[in-house]
Amino acid sequence: MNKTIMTVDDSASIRQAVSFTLSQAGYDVIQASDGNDAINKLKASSVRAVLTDLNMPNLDGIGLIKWIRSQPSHRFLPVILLTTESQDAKKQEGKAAGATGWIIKPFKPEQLIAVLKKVLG
Amino acid sequence: MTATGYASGGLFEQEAFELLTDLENGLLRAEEAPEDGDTIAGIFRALHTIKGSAAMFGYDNISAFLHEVESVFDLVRSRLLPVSRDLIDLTLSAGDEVRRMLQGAADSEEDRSRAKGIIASFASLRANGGNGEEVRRPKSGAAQKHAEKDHLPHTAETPPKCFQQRRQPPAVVRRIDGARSGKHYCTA
Repeated sequence: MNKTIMTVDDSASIRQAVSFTLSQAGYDVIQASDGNDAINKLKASSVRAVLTDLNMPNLDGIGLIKWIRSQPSHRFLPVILLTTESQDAKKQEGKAAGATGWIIKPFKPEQLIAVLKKVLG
Repeated sequence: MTATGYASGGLFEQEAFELLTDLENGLLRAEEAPEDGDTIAGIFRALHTIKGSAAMFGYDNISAFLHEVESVFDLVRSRLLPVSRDLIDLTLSAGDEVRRMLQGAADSEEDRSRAKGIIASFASLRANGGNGEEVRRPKSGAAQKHAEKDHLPHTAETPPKCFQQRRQPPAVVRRIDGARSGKHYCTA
């Protein structure tokens, strides 16, 4: 059975690119357009990891990570931030909130898969 | 093939044009309500998303161009820089430039020079702490004074300045209020 990964981003083109990469590598993918959408879908589905953007409307990546870590069942769920280099402060904020790691945009498909494999073990 | 190996099949371009419209609408709202944090956050998010996605799909020119713009709006949303008339006008120009880049119509020396000029203006704005006409919530008479700066007689029949200056219909949607209030805007 394939592992399911959630990709959270308000950009449809990024979600499409990430989903394609994950599918090609054999993962099932759930897409969410912001933190609130992600929470609703996490309540309904089981995932092995979450890849999330930082800046999103309604609920941003930091808010999403905090929610995830507040759930006993998700305390150790790998959460990877997709972030741009200039957001160092946000990276630290993400780490403090409980992010497992981050990938810097722009990234290549193989970089995304390598980081995912690392956190999934 | 792009440097990242990703191709959006046109989805990025479509999304970017929509975000540019969001950006312009946000700038219009910021002009009316410069202290509205949600509006500023929305402007920053539009810039940030276009910039980040552009780099993923091979538009390094857009990503590089928007770097300074995004930095300035990061200061604005942190309340370290005020919303000024110059900032709004400059950001509208930046949006036009990104539009040209998306259409592949920004490759000439003149285009590159113009883009560099815009970036330099943003850098200057940042360095000077945004010392310019700060946009404050319009009070009675303030909107009239702003409209008069266009140096056009304001009647319902006179085409506003933006129609005359833009080569394509402006994406900024504004109200036409008629001669009664003295406020006259463009419609898309």
